[in-house]
Amino acid sequence: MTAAGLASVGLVAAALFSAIAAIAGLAGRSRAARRLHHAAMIAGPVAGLGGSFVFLAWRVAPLSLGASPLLFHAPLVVDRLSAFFLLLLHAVSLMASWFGAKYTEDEQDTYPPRLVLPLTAVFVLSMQGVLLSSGVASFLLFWEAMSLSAFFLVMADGEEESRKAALLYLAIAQFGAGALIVGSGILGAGSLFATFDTLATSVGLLSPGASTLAAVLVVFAFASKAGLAPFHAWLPEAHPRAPSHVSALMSGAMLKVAIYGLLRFTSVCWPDLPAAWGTSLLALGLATAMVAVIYANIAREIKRILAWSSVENIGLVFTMFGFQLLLRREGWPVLADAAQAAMFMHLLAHALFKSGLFLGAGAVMHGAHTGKLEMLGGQANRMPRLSVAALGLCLAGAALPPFGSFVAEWMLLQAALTSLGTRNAHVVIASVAVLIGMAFVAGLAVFAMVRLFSFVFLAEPRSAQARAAVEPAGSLGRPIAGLAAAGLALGVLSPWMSPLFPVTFEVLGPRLSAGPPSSGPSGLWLAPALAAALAAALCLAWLIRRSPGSTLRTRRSHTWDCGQPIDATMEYTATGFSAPVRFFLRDIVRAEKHLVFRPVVPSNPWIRHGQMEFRKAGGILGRLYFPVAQLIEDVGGWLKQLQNGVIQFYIALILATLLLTLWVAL
Amino acid sequence: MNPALLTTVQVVVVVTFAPLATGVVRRVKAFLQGRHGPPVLLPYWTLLTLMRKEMVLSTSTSWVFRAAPYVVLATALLSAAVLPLVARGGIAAPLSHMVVVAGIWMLGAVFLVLAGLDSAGAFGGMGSSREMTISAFLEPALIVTLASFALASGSSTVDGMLAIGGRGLLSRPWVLPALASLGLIALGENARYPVDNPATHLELTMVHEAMVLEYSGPYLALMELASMVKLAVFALLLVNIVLPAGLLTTATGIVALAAAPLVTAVKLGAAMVLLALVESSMAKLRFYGLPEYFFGSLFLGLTSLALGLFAGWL
Repeated sequence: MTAAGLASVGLVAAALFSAIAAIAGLAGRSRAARRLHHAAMIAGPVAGLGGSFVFLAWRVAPLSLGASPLLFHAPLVVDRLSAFFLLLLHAVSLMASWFGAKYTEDEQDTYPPRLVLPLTAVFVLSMQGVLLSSGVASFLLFWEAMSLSAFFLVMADGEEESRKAALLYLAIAQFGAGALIVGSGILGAGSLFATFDTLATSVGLLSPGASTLAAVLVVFAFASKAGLAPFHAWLPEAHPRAPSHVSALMSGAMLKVAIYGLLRFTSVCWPDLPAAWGTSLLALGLATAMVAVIYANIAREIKRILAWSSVENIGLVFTMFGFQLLLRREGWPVLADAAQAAMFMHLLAHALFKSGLFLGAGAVMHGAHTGKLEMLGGQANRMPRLSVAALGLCLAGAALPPFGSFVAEWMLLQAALTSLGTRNAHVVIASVAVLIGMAFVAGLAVFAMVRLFSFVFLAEPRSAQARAAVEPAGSLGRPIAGLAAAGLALGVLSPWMSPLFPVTFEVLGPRLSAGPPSSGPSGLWLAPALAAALAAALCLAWLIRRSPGSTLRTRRSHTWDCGQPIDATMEYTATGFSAPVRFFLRDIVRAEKHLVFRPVVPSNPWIRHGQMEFRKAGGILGRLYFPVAQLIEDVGGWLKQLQNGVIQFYIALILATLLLTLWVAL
Repeated sequence: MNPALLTTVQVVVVVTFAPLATGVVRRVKAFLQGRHGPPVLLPYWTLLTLMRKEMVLSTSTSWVFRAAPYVVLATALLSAAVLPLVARGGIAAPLSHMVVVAGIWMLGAVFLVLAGLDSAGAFGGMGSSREMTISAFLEPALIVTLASFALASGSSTVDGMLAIGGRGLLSRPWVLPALASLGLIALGENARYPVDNPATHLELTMVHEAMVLEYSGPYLALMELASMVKLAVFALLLVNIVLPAGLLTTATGIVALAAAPLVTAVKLGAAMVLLALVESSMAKLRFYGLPEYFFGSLFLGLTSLALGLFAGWL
């Protein structure tokens, strides 16, 4: 069988398995049906992973997988861009399904399987559909299916909070979908049945104004789905509410599908977006990342921290996207390619570590029955194997060497450094902003990830339920370890990963000559060299430890605490740990702290009970969304005066409308 | 000379002299404060004694606590291998890319912080919170400062940046604020005045010592050695930017090898005397006064970068 045949078989099988899983999941009460569902959910991604890998590694030409009247006759097509995202999607969904097979069985009481199983399968199927669609109509159909299945999954546990989060998500998703439908309508000259090929020609016939309007609508649609500020409000509410393996799919894969949509539409319709678009997206992306990483340090619940970190990473992706757009328009294609490669590397790295972290959160919450940092701790001694994988994932999330996310950041910073020499004011200012912004975000991202790991896994447990937790079952732990290993491999083996990327995959060398032809030698091989050097340094440290004359005698005792016995109440808390961040950045966080003191004895004001209440100011919801909602409601109330029940007034309105129509028409 | 030999010589020399540097700075500080002070060679004895002592591990700690000394020392050793300290153009020199160096230092800081938190005491947590804050907020200043050196030298490896060391600084005076900024960063990263006080009698006020409070025996020796190596690395790096003379290269003969330890010792000694003077002439900042310190450092780096970009345009 040829590589093309193999790839198409793999990808079609992946979609079919998802469909089988959806149908089997509907009969979720029967144990056999559930088994079939889980088997299909794992078999599908395996086939899809193989198919997209073969497609990318053997450099197969774009491939049509067949058309169907159900999908409005537009064929399902895979090209290098969609194959990269299919690889990413199937890597995430394989691990999520593997984890989900045990997780959904154990959590039946919280998440009803009859709801969760078919919806998860539909969710995966619709993401596959979005990536394979070559027509606008089928793209929109799968897009809506993706949004709606995610909506129901967010409120699967039926709690009031989840319902609220799901509705907020639905509102923003539908707003975005509406913008996408209108935008594609403009692009297709009123028809939604264009394919991406015909769209490329029809967009040329549009007036510049209409084309710009469509671009604004389409970019808004994808940015709101991906969680770019100020449309990110739904993300930290909705992602934590879903079952953990679905959270992993949402943060790991769904956000990337939104980025895919952005890349697909912009590359088809506006291959020459003006540089100002690059600058604005870069600025928005950096602002998103900077604000989100601060909130990731303030949140006190594992999955909320992870959701904020997803917003931060999406901000970084938009920064990279805007930066490469700007560089390309200003005439620096080599630098633009480098920034673009960094973006794809970051997309893949984030998909791997974030889905791993969400699965890890699920495993911890499954064992300790809480996700609150102030109630966790000490899990490294209770779940040693999970803690190793979680530390790897957290280091990857902090973009530390030698993980893939570090390589992505390194690629971008090298591109920004090289851009300093372009003598183009626009590019240079953007590069300086990227350097400072990225460094700020990187520093605080390390803070957030260290805080997350430490307060879940280290020191003494802070509650009875955390004390009683045990190592999760192997089928929960192995997918997490797999994702940690994949994140490490992505960094260490990055030079050999280049065939998997749909773009020129090149790391700029250290020499900062920005001239397009001589960008210096490739820096790609430095990543494995760094990993080897780190390993060598670790060996040397071990040798120093085992040097002759040193002793191996050890004894256990409790931690010294000024002569008192120590317990968990004396530990630092997660809130206290990040207090400097809140204090230093208080103008951005704008938290309210209320202190109430009551003297124990009225005569002595010094001995007193204290109570501290710490409240985050309204955030984006309070500052932007609610005022807008209030405004709409006010305008509506004012307009309601028209409906006053006087028939003469209504007839006058009809007459006015008629006259206006005649005047416009003639 | 063989590049592999250069890197090996550098690591050996830096690690050998690192405890001496700490001894010198303690002795000079004592002298400036009118005390006699401990012998200069005491840190060597301290390390050797610690290696022979029985270790006490807290029952609250996990495998992270036992892994941290290795990682912290490994990152210190790696930065001693890649940076141009005793030799330029060693086999590990291409790894002195500024982003990699920042990443390596951050990795070491992260494991220190994890170890501090793992001990479950309030001191460790307090020190960790502070250390994490310092590392996180110094990151933009570090990147911007190194970026201005990169702009001046046309290379993003620290090894290549040394091309403008010494006389090169005079022809590019706009790099000087970045040099000052690098000095501030060095003080912050090494937990010295005015960010941290390495010699109070109260762990409550410390950053670095509070984190390693629960360590004892060989693990404490590894942690102490790591911080000594890191101090020596920063000191030599700063001295080499101002005075790159006496560095071994692939072109130098085997005879120069004998002079290398001497040159390194002199450079380290000078840096340590300067450090002792700085530390004896200023008070420690209060922790919540540090944002000005971070911002000052970032501002100096940014000044250099902006001036350099303008200079490039003219």
